[in-house]
Amino acid sequence: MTQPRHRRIRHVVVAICAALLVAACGDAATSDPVDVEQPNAAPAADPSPAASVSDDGPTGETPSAGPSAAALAASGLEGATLYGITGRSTGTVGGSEGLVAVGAVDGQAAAWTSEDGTTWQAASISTDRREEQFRAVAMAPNLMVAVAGSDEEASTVWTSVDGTSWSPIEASGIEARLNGLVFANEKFFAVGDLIAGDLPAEGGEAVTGVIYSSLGGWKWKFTTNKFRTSEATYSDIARRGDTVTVSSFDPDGGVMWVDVPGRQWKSITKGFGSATIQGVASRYRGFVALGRRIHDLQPFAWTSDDGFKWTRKKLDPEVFRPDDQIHDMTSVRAKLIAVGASPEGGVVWTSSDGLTWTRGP
Amino acid sequence: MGATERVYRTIGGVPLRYARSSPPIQPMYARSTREFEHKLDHFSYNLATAAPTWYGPLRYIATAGAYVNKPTYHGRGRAFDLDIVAWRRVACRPLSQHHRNRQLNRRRRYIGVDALARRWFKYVLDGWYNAAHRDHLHLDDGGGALVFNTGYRSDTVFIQKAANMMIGRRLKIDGIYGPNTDRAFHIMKNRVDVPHRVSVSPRIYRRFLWRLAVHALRNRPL
Repeated sequence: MTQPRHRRIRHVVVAICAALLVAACGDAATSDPVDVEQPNAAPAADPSPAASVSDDGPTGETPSAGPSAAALAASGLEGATLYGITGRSTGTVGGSEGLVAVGAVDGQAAAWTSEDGTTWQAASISTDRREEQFRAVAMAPNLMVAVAGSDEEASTVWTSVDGTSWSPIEASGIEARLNGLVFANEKFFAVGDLIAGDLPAEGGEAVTGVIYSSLGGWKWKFTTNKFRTSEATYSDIARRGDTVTVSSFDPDGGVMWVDVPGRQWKSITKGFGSATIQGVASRYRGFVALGRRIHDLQPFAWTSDDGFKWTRKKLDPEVFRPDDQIHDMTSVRAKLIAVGASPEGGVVWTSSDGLTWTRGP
Repeated sequence: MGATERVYRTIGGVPLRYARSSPPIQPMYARSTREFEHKLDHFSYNLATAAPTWYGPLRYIATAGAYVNKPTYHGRGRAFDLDIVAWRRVACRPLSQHHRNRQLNRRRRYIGVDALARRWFKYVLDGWYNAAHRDHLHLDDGGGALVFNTGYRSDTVFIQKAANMMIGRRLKIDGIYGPNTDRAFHIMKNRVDVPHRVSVSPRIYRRFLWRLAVHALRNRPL
């Protein structure tokens, strides 16, 4: 007896689905070769989409993440990670103002320019050393300087006239991995860390923070390495008048280092406990820092008039989402701008006071 | 990009905690790549299954963080700082420097956890590796194949300490793989009936680590 045509089709479809299901289960069952003594049935992978929170939150301050329009990358920054941001002064590129961002795409150095902070154009990178991701950028009146590195070696210094094309310079004198850069009081200042000197760089952990300075961006001078803390990272540097602040963090939380002429470097931990500090910048009055609490990813801003006493404020976790990376913050023409990345690509945040932020594009 | 593609508060179904704040034990969110999270899941499962039943089930795993904005593997979402592994009745507390605890059973438990971590992560930096890791185990999946590398300080100090604690050797913990360390390692492999190709075969090295961990977690010498 023959079946009606539509029923036969349905049976074929069901059979194909069943075959696919069996094949999928078979793959899962054989995908992990196990030792005899290790009953190693791997926990099932969470099938939820990328950048999702796999459980409910612990408190009312639950981090939440998920695809939304706000999570998308700024135009021209799809797939990018932004590590540094700076302004572009009047007088360059036909008198226009704008922004320059540096970072990486697919692990390779990349830079961008933007007139409005919303739409970005890729810059030209004039070298084959693309594996060196850009880590920071700063602007002097007639020169832009960026630092790049591959994590395992000392950073290299790159220059650009207007941010649209970048070239490396040779023999800069830098022996550290640099994470932050600022131009203030006619000088460039860079902060970073040194990998343990006589130990192999297993894990790549650093033990000492360092500051370099340079008058023109070409030759760099070692300034200090007085930041000896256990396994710390020195994330950013800011200068206002004679006061220099360096942000850092280690597994216990954040440490802000402050230096004024005639005084020793002082470490400030009050208010920074159990948090990472990703960026610090000068503002119209004093300084502002940006970071997260470690355990629940709550974003924070810290403000200070003098660099020594800091006040902490919670930021909106929908603006700095749990899966966002925050890499740098700087002040440009009385505005604060932070950059980083979401799983979709580069993200730019803006603020007028450091306490209320708007997420790009 | 991929460094924060996963945000989670359990690994292998075991709750994550943060123990460096006040109040001291907080629920914790970690971020990493998806692939690294899966390795943590496997590690967590090993912690549950290698431990003797009297430990009880795993209660929580405390961490100082996975992805953080810093160079190398933490910044790539491929590293994890382990502070505490808490079963129902006992705990291994790197945060409390159990690697140098007065009680041998606690030091051996630390060796057991350390060994299980090495089954999934090439770089395991422990309290014997350097002072920066006296209060946590750093795990990352850089460094190449999961075999024993005589040139890696992190591998060698672990084997030296394991030999001292598990077969009663008195090796200097210097990270230098010399003839004494080689001889002690040879004895340990014989005692757990594992061939000597641990430097070329990940499968064999991982089998050695499993058997070492099973003994260490039971406070039994090899």
